[in-house]
Amino acid sequence: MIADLSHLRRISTVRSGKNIKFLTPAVYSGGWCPMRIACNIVENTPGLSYLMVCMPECATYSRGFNSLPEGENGEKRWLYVLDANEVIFGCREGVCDALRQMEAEGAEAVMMVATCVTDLIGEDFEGIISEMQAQLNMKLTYVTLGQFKNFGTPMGTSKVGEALVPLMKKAEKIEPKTANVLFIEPWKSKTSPVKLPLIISALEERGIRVRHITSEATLKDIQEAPDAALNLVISPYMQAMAERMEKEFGTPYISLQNAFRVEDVDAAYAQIEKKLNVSLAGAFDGWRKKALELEAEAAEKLNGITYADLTEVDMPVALAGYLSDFGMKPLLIHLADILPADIQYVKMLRQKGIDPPVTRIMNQELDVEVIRDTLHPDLALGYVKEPLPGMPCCEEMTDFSGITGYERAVGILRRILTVRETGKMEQGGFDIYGPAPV
Amino acid sequence: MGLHRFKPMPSGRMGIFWTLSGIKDAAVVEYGCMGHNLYGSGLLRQTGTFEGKGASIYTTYIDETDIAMGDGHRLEDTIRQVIASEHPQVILLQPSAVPEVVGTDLVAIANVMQEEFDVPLVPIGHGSFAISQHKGVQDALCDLVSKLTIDCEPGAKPLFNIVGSCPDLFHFGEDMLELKRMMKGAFGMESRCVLSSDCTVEDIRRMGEAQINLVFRREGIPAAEWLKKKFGTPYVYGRPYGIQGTTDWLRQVGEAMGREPDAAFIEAEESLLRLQIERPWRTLKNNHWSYPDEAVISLGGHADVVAGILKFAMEEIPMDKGDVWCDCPEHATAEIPYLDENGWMPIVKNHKKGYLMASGEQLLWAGKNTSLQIANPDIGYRVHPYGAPFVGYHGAAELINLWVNEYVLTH
Repeated sequence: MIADLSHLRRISTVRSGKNIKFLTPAVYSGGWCPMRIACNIVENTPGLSYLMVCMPECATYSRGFNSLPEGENGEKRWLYVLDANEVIFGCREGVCDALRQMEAEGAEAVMMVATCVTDLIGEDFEGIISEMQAQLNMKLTYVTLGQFKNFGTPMGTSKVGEALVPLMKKAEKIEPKTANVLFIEPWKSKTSPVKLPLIISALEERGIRVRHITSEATLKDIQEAPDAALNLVISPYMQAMAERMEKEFGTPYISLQNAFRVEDVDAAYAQIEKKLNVSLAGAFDGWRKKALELEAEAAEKLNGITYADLTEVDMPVALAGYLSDFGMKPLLIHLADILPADIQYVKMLRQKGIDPPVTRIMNQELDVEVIRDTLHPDLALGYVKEPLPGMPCCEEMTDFSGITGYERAVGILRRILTVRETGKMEQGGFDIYGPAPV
Repeated sequence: MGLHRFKPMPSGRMGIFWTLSGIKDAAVVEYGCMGHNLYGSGLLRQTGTFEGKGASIYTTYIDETDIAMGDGHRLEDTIRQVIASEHPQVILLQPSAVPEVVGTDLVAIANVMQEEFDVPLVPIGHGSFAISQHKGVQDALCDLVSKLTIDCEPGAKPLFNIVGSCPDLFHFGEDMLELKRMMKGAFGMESRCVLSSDCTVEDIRRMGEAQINLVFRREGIPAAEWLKKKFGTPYVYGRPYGIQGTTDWLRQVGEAMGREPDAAFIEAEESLLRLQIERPWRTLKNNHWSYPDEAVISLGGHADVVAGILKFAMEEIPMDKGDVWCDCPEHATAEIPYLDENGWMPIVKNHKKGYLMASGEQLLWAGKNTSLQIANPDIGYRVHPYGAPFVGYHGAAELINLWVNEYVLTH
């Protein structure tokens, strides 16, 4: 299906999510609401409770099949549902009573999650905390996630990460050989460990204690995080948390997720060596060599190749910046939300004369066909429900979520080169924990 | 509504949405944020309302600017696209919570937009903050019949309608198929319209062709009254549970139509069933005789489901009545009161002897036997609709099977 895409704005003109237009107007059948993201993150954090302040819709859909109101350690997953009066007059009194009850029943720390209607009526959660924190022993924090101004996963995860910072305790002493890795993901498998980049195990092998502020972190881990000498950010969604920790506790951070190129990874790792007083010499030789080979191959084979980013591509703007090194040209980028860190890549792309339109794909099957038939990209990156004739696609790009370093460059370039050459995905997926694919 | 540990009673908007979802050849367009539709559609798939079976489900999204400016262009653009891509016979419009707060008048908007579109735009129900899921279902059923039916008369082919088979009820699909099977067997009748879990827009339009309306839950009564007034169609309200209960129900249906159910069908069904259940039934009966404190049934769920299963258990097994409650304050009676979570939590948690049938959520939380689930919230997928029903003759076998297995498990 061919469509007029003239309503889309170019990335250089986009300063907030509001300016990112839907590719086609009808949303089928809906979009992830950030309140679910908040609940998932809190449910994965032993010791932390939540109180979601919401309508019955949010209350019902915040839970999947596992609708138990308490976690394994007695964490509360409670819901404060507004009635018709509270929609007009606010819910402060009821929420305060609920918090008292949560403390009485043993909650250690509570994140209040505000949703659409509470956001709309302007309920003052900061005021509630300032009134209630003095009366309670449990620590309080809050996040406002009305979907009308927080589109989905990126902004939701970022805001929840930032909202964890008020739960942290100022450290009496900074541990010079301790670092935090920041990677909280809302859709983490409950039965498999979090996949982390090789830099983490390399540091641990060299005597650095790396505290995992990941989806496996406990409340205690989060509370103690400010004693680290360095934060290693490996997801764009954790940038806000790192920035707030730097502001409140002075914890420096390195944003590894931004280092795509081998030379940028080199620089980032050199910074880590300096900050933690550790040597990473020889740790990644195989992966680095392969990454360099693939970068050279990409420059040769991918120059002039056009592509479209579909849904489920991690860091699409930064990735576009990296792929532009090899002469690849984005025709369209699906961008769920624009994060502050994206702006630097927008500038970088513009300097290279690249200024693609951005969109939100909200009707998966129709929109993917529109992209193929209207833009005719050589390649697509991201999610397709099933292979679409005439548009080879690098699927499963979320394999690289939370993965940084040389191994990410290898994984991404190998996937693109394979699909470009064969029209199909490589067999076996992406495994960074095996030997380097030299 | 206040503080909840468990999922609260769903809103009227949710009841409306679930009721509209089963209508094939219709499109449901929700004006508002997108989460409700995404998760609501996911929940429907869990119940077995799969993509392509019912209505096409779309939403518009709404952002700060739309709210501040009262800008409705998203709705117009969405309707235009849905018409072009889905070719629906009708577009059912529903507001989500945010447009309700800001006072969006969807009826007025639909009236204005209707001039542009050939496809009927039908705003359904209302998004009020004070109505329950059950009232939402009731309003949606009533709106569907009053806004979509066309003038028609019963033809030569004997037809019936089911009013109130909706995916918010646990096992709605299985129960609906058993009702159809029995109506075919006892009266040789086919269904004209299963409102609303298994119908097309055309089925609703031609509901007046049916000779009788079977009201499967009390929320369907106002719709059935409307149909009676409009077409003169009689209706029977009730859910048939148990062996005798089912036979009585068939006779009641026959009486409303002025004809007898097929005696051979009833005889064959009853005979087979009595053979099938003979041993388990005797186990349950003996248990009541020897240990009456064990033969107690407690039930929580939709008032009609609770009342029906309770009657079967007490009159045909027998069992004694334990704690019973319904899930909607408007349905509460002295016999079956409404209990909120503060009411049912101690009952469910402290239940020791007898048979506890409630929602999956309640049974799972209390560590009880989840195969005795009779109500939602559910705890798993129900992908295929060919499981055993609770109503009708087959439902009687299923319930006895569940009870005797619970007896075996606990003895």
